[in-house]
Amino acid sequence: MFGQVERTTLLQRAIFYGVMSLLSLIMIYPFFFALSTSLKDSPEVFKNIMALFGERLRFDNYVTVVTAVNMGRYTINTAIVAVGVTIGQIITSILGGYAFARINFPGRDLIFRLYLGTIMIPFVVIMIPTYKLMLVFGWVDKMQALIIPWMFTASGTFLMRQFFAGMPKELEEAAVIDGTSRFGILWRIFVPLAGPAIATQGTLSFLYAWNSFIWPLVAIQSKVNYVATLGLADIQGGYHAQPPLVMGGAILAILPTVIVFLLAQRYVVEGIATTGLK
Amino acid sequence: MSKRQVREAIEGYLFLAPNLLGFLIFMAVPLVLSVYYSLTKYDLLTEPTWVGLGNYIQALGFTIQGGIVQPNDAFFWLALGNTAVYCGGVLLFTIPIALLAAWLLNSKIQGITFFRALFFIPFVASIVGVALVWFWIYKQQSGVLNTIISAVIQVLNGIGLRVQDPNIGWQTDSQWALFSLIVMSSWAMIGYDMVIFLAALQGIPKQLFEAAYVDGASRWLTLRKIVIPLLSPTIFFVLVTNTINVLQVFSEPYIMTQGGPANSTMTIVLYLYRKGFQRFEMGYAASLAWIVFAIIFIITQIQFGLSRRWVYEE
Repeated sequence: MFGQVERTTLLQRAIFYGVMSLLSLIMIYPFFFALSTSLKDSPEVFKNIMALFGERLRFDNYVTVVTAVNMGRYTINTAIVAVGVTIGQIITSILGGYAFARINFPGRDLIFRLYLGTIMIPFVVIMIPTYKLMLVFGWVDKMQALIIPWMFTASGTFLMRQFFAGMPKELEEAAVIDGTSRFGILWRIFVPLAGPAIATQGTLSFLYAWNSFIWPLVAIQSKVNYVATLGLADIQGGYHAQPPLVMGGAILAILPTVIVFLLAQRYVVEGIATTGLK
Repeated sequence: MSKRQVREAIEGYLFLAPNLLGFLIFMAVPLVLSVYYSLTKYDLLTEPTWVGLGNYIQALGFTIQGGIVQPNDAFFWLALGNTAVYCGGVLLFTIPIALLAAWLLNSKIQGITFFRALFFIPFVASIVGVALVWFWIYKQQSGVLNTIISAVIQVLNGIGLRVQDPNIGWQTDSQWALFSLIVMSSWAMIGYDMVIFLAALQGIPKQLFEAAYVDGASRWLTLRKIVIPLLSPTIFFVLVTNTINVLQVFSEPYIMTQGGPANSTMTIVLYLYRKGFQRFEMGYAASLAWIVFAIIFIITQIQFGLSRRWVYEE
């Protein structure tokens, strides 16, 4: 089975598929349950929570979730935040990673070591002072509090630096002789080659930003600026008697990350397998 | 420095500038401020007052009163204990199951990509959304889990056994709540670990297995003597990264149990959040954050130290 050499017997295959099917069922059931519940009405849920379907599929629940429960607004806000953070992180990581990898400047190695040193620091350590900064900047309860402080990432810079450092030196030399500027070299030679690394970094940033919770909880108060995770925490309290709406909200918050993951699966898996970055 | 070197240095800092500026404002400055706040009494609105190590003594210290040793902040120790149990539990569930799944998947049988994606979805899904879903799975009255248990017990009673329906309050019984969180979080993390294990397994040269097979080594022996040693650096890596993540657990208890019942799911970061942003004891909360960091640092150092004994290096 693990030997990859022996031919697998029928029994072994049966065991393999048996165990994997059971584990898969456990992995997927909660999502299935959420989806099925989101398409029932509350009495149907309370009557038999295990039933796959109610009397009919109530897709109109989602209209309620998007409008009355306001998840539509929260989802748009989340998308703005996640896209802003992702683009910001990609730009700063490419520029910084390139500088660390390919340009000689005094203090470079020291600064790089300081960057590395901060990767292990939990966010809660800087959460209170960052909140204080938001007060000083007047960003409390504003969307920029969720975007701008997150546009810089030591781990992303590290990832890009490692990628650029591994590229052959001849790449630049020819361009330097041609008189191409540094930026031209980065933009026309390195960035196109860095596609996979950028995709990895971008997907991980997006997933992380989309799912972040503790910082929005601290930084945002007004419902107009809520992101999906805050909206969900709110629904949990306010719609206790209406599980279909709660599950509909959960599905709306979860679905975009699952879609992004499935599209960029190769990069996510590669990124995590090689760096273990979250 | 030559003219060219000066130019290169300027270019280097120009490229780094956006990144470095962000790093200074949103990392370096908060880090320094955080150290300072942790040494003060501070409510964010009035000026901080210096208390030296007072916050740390409050959190970590003990007082002897009438011959009885009392912790200064019993809640802190409770939260720390809960977090430790939670962390141990999640690691115990996650790593073996992830290893088993990766090992099963690392075969010629079709479907690796499919199963890998399936297992990974819980990890990419918003943990807040996931916690809402599990809230209804765990719900005591008419929740999924208890409905299943009741059905199984009915069948057992149907064949003549006399079993009582335990009707467990997975989230409302203080004996079960932390365990319920452990199971949910493990479920969410297995895919992440599995992907890493799978990549490592696929990196093991096939010739090693062939040689073992030719020599007539049993599967069990191959697993013990080839797979586990070659995988040990990966197991170590997963252990360290998981520990760092799991110790910072916040969303799960915040959404599902609000730290209850009877504080049985109060974790250290949840306690920090309450102290800081509900009671405005920012100085104390900052000191708790540094204690979390110290714990993470010490545990990873210990793991690095121990790893020399069991991690196989080529």
